[in-house]
This record gives sequence, structure tokens and C-alpha cells, in this order.
Amino acid sequence: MAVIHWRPREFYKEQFLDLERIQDEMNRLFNFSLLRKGERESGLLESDWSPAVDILDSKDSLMVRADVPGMDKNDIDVTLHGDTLVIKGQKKKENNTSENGLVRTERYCGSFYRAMRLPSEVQADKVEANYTNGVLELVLPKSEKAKPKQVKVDIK
Amino acid sequence: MTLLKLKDNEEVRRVVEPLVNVREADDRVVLEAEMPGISKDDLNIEIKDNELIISAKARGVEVPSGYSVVHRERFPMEYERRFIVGDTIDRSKIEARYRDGILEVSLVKSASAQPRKIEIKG
Repeated sequence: MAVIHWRPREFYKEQFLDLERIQDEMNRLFNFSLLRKGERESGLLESDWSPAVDILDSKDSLMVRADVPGMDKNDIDVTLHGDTLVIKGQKKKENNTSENGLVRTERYCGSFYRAMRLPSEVQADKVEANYTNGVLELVLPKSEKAKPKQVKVDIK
Repeated sequence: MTLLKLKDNEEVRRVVEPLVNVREADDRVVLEAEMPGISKDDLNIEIKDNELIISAKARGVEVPSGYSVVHRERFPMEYERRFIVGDTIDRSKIEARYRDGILEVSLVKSASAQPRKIEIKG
């Protein structure tokens, strides 16, 4: 199963700012030359981080859980493209200015993006999403043909 | 306390320091700590000597019955972080709330530490 890897937030970002600028520049170049305009938005390098995700499987449904603390639930975007589930979102950046009084910023801000191929086909119109205590929980009912069937085979 | 089992007899306690943002205003200092996936009752905030300790019992990442794990990145872990609190904080006026995975602790400065406008007479 193809899963886009977890990229934890960078804890000590400031030390790597210069390096990051070079990386940004490289990413920009790659996006510019290798991807057509329409694909750029879904580029994996566009997001600031990717949340940790669990994928669980049962007889009737799949469950996906992601840690996305401190979000407004309207700013989380969940979409299904065929068998690929995409979770993305955006949180407003806050800069260290005297206006908001921020003296230390370790918490993530910016955009996040996570895409994963689901292990079985699901009914896209029956997906349920819940956001509690900073955890996004999705329950995706499997389509009829993806459910395991028990077939009794007679041995002669 | 939930422990992560490595082998049958070996258990490892995972303690994670939550990421925090700190804001300072004239009358208070506010900490915002990212602690997703715990319930309010599992949170503990205490002040001991000059240390403020925020902690939470292992967050639940139980697999609901009937489900099996396909892919896992979220593990049971405890949260704990300590902060040194200066004398300017009024220890009787610490407030906290937990919402959307963020613990917000509000530390009120004592009256003498707050900026005061001095009137000019005459």
C-alpha cells in the first residue's frame, strides 16, 4: 500500500532556515519544470508538514485517524479521489510581533497535506468525519464488493 | 499509565514534550500546548516551587473492537513539560482550558509586576 510518509513538524526550525530556503528554491524549480500548472497544487512539497495517521481495517469499514490539533473544523478538507484519501488543511500563520505578544512559537502553522491509498474500496458518499480533542477520525464504510464473502467449498 | 510493549517483558514509557506557543500581554502570560487526543480528565497541571508542570496520562490510541491495524504512526504516549515560573506570576490565579487538542494555561501577573500608569500631579 502506498502511503505518503509522515513528516513530523520541524521542532527547531530556526537553525535550518538557510537550508530551508535553499530547499524551497529547489522545490520551486522542480515544481516549475516537472509539473504542469494544474498538478502543482497537489504537490507533496507544497505543504509545511504532514500529520501522523493511523489506518484501521474491519469487516465493514475502514477507520482513519489523524492528529491535527488546534484546527477549526471548517479548515480541514477531506476528499476521496478514487481509492486515494486526501486530508489537507491550512492554519493561519502568526508571526512574532508585538501585537499578538508571541514570545515563543513552536507550534506548527501553515498548510498540511496527507494522502494515502486505501486498502479497499469505500462508499464515498457515506464517509463520516469527526473532530474531537484535536484528532480527526474518519469512518469509511466499505463498498459491497469489497466486503469479505464467505464461500463454502465442498470437498468431494 | 499505558505502556508500549516492545517484547513480552520489556516496557517503554514514552514521554513527549508538547510543542508550545507563549504569548505575553501586560497582565498575563499564556501558554498554548499541543496535546492532541487526550481527555480533559487525564490532564494535570501543578505548580511546585518555581516550576509549572503540565502533564497528561497516556493518550488512548486503542483499536476499536473489530478493527485491525493496517498502518500506524500514532502511539500511546504521555505528555509532560516543565516551565520555570518567575516571581511575577500570581500563583493563585492560574487558569487552564483544553479545546481541540490544545491546552491553554493562563498565568496572571501579580499586580506589582503589571505596568502601571503614573499620574502627574500639578
